[in-house]
Amino acid sequence: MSTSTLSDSRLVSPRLLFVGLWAVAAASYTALLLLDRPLAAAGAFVAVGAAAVAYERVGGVRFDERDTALYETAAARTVQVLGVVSAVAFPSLVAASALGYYEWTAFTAGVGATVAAVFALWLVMLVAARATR
Amino acid sequence: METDLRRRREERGLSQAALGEAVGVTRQTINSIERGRYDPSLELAFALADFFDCRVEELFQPEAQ
Repeated sequence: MSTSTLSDSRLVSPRLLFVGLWAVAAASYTALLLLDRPLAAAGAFVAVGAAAVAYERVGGVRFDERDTALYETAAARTVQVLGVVSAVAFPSLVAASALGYYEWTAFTAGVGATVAAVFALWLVMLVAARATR
Repeated sequence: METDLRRRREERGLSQAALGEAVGVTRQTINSIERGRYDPSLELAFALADFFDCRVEELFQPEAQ
C-alpha cells in the first residue's frame, strides 16, 4: 500500500527516515572530524550512508517527478548564484592582485580552481543533455 | 494550472495517499497539484485523467488571465 505517507499508523514516513539517515551520516562525519577522528568519521559516513541506500532499496522510499523538479530548480539556482558571485568576486580579486591590494592564498586559489572545475563540469553536462534532446 | 482534482478525489472517497499510490506518485505531489503549487508532467496528467476517466483538459485548465 502506501509507501511514503503519514496517512497510516507510521509515525515517520519512509522519505523522512531516509533523509534523516543522511543527516545522521553528515552529523556523525562532522562531529568525528571535529574530534580529530578522521578514519572513524569516514567509516561512520560510509556505514550510515550505506544503510540509507539499503533502506531506500528495500524500505519503500519513493521519490517522484516533483522531487526531480525540485532538485532541478535547486541545482539551477545554485549554478546561478555561484556564477554571479564568482563573476564579481574573481575578476575583482584579479584586479586587486594586479594593483597590489590583494595577494592570492592557497585557499582562494583553490576556491577559484574549484569554481572553474564546477562550471567546466556544468558545460559538459549541458552538452550531454542537449545531445539527448 | 487550475484543477478540480480535489473534488474528484473526494467524490471517490480517496485520500491523497491512495490517489498517489494509484498513479505512482507521493501524497505530497497530489497535495501540491491540488493546491496549484505544482504542474504535473504530461505523463502524470494523462495518468490522472485516465484514473478519473476524463480528458486531460477537463481535469486541468490554464489559469484565467
